[in-house]
Amino acid sequence: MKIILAILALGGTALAIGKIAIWGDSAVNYGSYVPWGLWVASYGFLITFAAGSALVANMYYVFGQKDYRKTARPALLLAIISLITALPIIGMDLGHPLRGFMILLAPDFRAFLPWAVWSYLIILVVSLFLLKNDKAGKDTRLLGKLSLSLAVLFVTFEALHFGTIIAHPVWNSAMTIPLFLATAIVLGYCILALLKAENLKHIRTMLIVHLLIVDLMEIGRLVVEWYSSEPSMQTAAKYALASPVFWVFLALGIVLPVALLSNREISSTALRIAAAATIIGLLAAKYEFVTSAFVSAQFAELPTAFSGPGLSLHYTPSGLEVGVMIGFLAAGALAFLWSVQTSKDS
Amino acid sequence: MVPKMEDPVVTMLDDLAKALKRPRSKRKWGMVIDKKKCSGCHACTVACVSEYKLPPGVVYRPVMEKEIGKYPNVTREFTPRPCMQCDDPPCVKPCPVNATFKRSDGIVVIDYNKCIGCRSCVASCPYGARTIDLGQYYTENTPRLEQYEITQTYEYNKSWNRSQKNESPIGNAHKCHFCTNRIAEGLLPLCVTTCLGRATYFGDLNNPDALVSRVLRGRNVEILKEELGTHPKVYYLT
Repeated sequence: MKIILAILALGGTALAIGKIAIWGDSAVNYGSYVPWGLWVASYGFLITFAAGSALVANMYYVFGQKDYRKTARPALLLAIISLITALPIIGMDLGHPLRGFMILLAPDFRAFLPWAVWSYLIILVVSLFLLKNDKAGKDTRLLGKLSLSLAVLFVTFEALHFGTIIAHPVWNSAMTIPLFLATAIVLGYCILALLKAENLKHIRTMLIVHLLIVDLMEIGRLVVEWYSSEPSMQTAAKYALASPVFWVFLALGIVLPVALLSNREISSTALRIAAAATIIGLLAAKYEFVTSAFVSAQFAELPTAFSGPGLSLHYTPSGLEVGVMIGFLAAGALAFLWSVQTSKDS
Repeated sequence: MVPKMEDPVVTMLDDLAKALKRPRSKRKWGMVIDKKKCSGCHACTVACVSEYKLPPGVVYRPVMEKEIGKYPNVTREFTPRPCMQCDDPPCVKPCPVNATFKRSDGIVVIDYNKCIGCRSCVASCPYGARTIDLGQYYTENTPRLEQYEITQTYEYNKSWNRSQKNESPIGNAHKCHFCTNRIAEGLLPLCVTTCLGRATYFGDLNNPDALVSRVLRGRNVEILKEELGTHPKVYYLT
């Protein structure tokens, strides 16, 4: 397992170096009319995943819930690793990756992105301090509260980054914030299920309740788009139904987990299958959320007015985009396995 | 005896010279495009591409074409689409490093050396007026890159070079800037001077006597996506 992950990580890193040193943006399929694609979706997903992990970890560190004790440390490690994995992925997406540090050094706080980035940075530091404590107590309570607040904040800022874009009615909604936050909670319970937590019944209940809320919001979004008189909304709904990614979400984000979680006497294996399916399903939902906004041009006549690379509405991630994403995710998974192993040994 | 008609370009050049005498913050540059005069020749698009040696996939002023009606009552409408230089530009707000901003004369500009290439501004423009330099060349995969693609270009009163793959302006967002470098020299934007039908007017909207302000009076004026409240400074006469 570790060897496969290491090979994938090396392959992804080689592709990333190739993109920076040789191919540049000519090897990617996003462009001017579809400016954000797989990497932005993966980044958004990992950020939400990190917030979910932080939530689960802090159920112990802040509230001292004993059922969460075993999973608190691995969940915290997962939060840290998810954030650290998300940053190079979004760095690859930048036209000038090295200038990405300017968001920290010379931020413009009128935008939401610097708030989000500063929140990740602080939560990373706070999480490292939390890692030093094995038992919940006074010390962890304060740090945990800070960590929890920051997790909520960076997901909210991320949601606002999309939600305030008036150019895309698909995103330009107050619903974007609760959708992102609810997704983080669901991912948190998925992590709990995968980390072999105790009290399966409690996890099952929390997971299905929150998953149904997210699914309701996702399907509700689709229905609103379908019934909208705004052409870009209608096109987004049609695109979703025609996209295999949406059906992945439908199958793995709704049908399979809901079917499995409906069983009150769920086995730990079934719970883990439901959790893994949900994670893949919600990654598909995030990809669909990001890309569906770009299926219509700002003017119907714009795509035919001038042609060239990047001036197309058709987007399928390039091999490089997929390879880098898989490689970086594999590196993150490897780092997680290694860190869990190391903390067990110590 | 037929009265002498002055070319609008000459009038606009005079207006421009007057406007440049005032402080920058007292000017409000605007553009008016007469759709009835636009013949869809694309001269403005071509002139702009050649002036700034725009690479593949980068365009500042495409001309959108729309067919209206049914045969035999068919007409074709042309809508040149420069940057709208919005008074409340939605592309400026999401920039995390303040690399794009509105100047005091209303022109929205990009600092290529600050831009990190996150494309938030590209996603945020409701007019699709921003494009990305993906680092490609028209003469790529030919025996050599032609000189015109890697020679110096001038934008924002600075010179730029596209010979280095990972350096600005490659990897940056690009947009129409009303030819800021030409305005500074007392020249009109190139799309105005190259317009064969003299369909594009440019000048200081703060001067009611300027031609650009006069042509707006007494005509039906269309503002693209007015409902968004971005307050564009490009107006269309219909």
